[in-house]
Amino acid sequence: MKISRLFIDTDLEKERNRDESLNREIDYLISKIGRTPEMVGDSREIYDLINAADDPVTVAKTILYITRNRGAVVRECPGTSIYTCCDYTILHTGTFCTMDCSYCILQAYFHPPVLQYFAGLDILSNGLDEAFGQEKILRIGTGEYTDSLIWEPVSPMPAFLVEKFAGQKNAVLELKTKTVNVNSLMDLDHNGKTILAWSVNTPAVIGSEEKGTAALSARLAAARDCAAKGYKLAFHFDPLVIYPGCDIAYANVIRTIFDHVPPEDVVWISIGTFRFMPQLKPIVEKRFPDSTIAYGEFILGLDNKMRYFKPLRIGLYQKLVRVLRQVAPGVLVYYCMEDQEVWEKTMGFFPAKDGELGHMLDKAAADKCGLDRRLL
Amino acid sequence: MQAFKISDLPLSAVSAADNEFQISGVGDDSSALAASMAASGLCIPILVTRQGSAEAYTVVSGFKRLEAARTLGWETISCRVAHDTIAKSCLAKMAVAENAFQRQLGPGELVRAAGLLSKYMDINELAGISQAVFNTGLNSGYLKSLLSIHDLPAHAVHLLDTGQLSIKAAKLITALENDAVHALLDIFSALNLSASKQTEIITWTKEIAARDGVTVKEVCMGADIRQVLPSADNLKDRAQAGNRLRGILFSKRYPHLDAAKKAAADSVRTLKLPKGIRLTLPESFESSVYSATISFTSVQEFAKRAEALGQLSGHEGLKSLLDR
Ligand code: SF4
Repeated sequence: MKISRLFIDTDLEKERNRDESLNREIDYLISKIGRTPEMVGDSREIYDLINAADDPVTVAKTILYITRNRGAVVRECPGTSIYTCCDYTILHTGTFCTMDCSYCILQAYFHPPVLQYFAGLDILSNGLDEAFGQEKILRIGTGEYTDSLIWEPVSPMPAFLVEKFAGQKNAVLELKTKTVNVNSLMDLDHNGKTILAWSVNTPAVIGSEEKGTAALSARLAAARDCAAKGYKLAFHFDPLVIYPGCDIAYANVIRTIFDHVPPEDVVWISIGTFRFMPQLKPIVEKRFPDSTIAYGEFILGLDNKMRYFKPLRIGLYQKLVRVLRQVAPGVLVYYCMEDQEVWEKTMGFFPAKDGELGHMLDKAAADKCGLDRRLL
Repeated sequence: MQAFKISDLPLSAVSAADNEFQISGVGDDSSALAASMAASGLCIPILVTRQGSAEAYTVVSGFKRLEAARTLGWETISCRVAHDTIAKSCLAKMAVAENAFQRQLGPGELVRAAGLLSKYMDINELAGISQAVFNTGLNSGYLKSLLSIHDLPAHAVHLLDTGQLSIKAAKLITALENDAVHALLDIFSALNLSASKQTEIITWTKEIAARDGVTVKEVCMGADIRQVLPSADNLKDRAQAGNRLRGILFSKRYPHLDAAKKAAADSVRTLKLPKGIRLTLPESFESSVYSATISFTSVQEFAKRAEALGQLSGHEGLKSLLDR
């Protein structure tokens, strides 16, 4: 997806005249994107521009707005009380995405979605210093409201974050992506504190539902290169899409992953079947008329999201957990947002206590990324 | 210059054959109107326009009144004859307004009215005058939907008139291929379903077709579906047939959920729940929580039913229900 228009917040423009590092960051972005920036004083102008389009989501993917993050930089991930939550921490670096997955929740989450890049490494740095000062293990990710590495080819931010995390011992950075944008990270001294994570899917799902993303083979080749540079890795099977033969296809993906990287380098693997806010369905139908992803056997879950009928989820999970335990027995596998019945019927246990899943993940991070174990 | 002249015209000079301006549903029963006209005469003269220079007239508003007059055997009818200079676009607005300010327009009437007026103005203009003409404000999005329904086969608008198709369902149908439209209209002709059930049927057939890589028509023409549809004149079986059809489509759209529901219902049946005890299964089996309710009117009844409830714990049916 090409950027057709580039907007810069006028306040930010004024600030960069006074702040050399901010100036360098923005200059770098502009030069790489190759668009003449337009100044905008009020973000509502951008909202209006996007809302006026027939397909606001598609248009929003081509309009980049460079601005400041005016909210909290470091936030706790909003979980639910019904399905287990992993106590993740979000580093807010931007919103929306240039790739175009049919199932992407961000299409329905923002009204309208705006492709924002939050400039200001100093703000990130300050927010992180505060987080690093806490007496606990943190797993921090940038991939909740955007893909972590979409701006890597045009921004110094990912490299900055990797180096920032390298200097402390209580937090890991997880950069979650469907790209292969890792060039600027390859020769950094990461000190093991960054986990490069790929969302993976079957080639069939990638082909039909993940427009603009890297092929599975390319993602895994990038993962292998990163592992060779000492990075720890993670894989997210999310969303699993149920279709005839999907169990075999997903099992093949698991095996292919471990043909590329050794299990010891993988900190965790998450799995989760497709779930979505009901409002997403009409958007998928309109924007992706050939997609049948919304036509599975979905029921309304207890968190008011559509989920596959539980026995179907359990059936697929059981098969995949079996394969994972065969090929990578030591790797921590977890569900994001599943309940006790699913855990017990597929994993044989349930992290019932408050924070138990989070603790399992903290431990894996501490073991594999060299965090301070006294904080566990 | 007056816009209208009131005249008593011979019925033979007034033709309803050209129904361009007709808003009311074709074939609606006009016997009640005839009875009223027989008792009180014609309260409001019908609106007509002259065909060219001949002494022949076309109805603009009053199709039902004209039909009732013919039924009553009247020889003349009181008419407001529009002046020859009145543009057709004005006549169209009058035709709609006369109906809309007498009563709320039905869905078929709304569609015909929008279709008629769209010949003379664009959607935005139509939205602008909607309050004055339709007696209610209609936005351009809604008018667009009405016009897309107007483009469906005439049969669809007839089903809107009879209440067998809702505007919402008709709008969903407009997005489908021609033969899917015909197949679904065929189904709705044979049934009399609520608007939400119509929507469900369209959504399920469309989703089954997309998922299975077949056409909507193929889904609708499935032998199992054709079998449950009563003939169009069999009004009695319509409600039951509608439920059977929904059952078939549900089991195709949600095969595993349907099977689980049926198995659970079988297990519950084996429990032979005594009077006053009700078992509620978790919605779509997402939660693992089942609940049992006892209703009672006295301590003795409570004790009796609580004991009966307790005895269920050893029942195989309960075990199979919970072990699903
Ligand atoms: S890569 Fe992630 S953020 Fe981007 S479109 Fe796909 S799901 Fe959305």
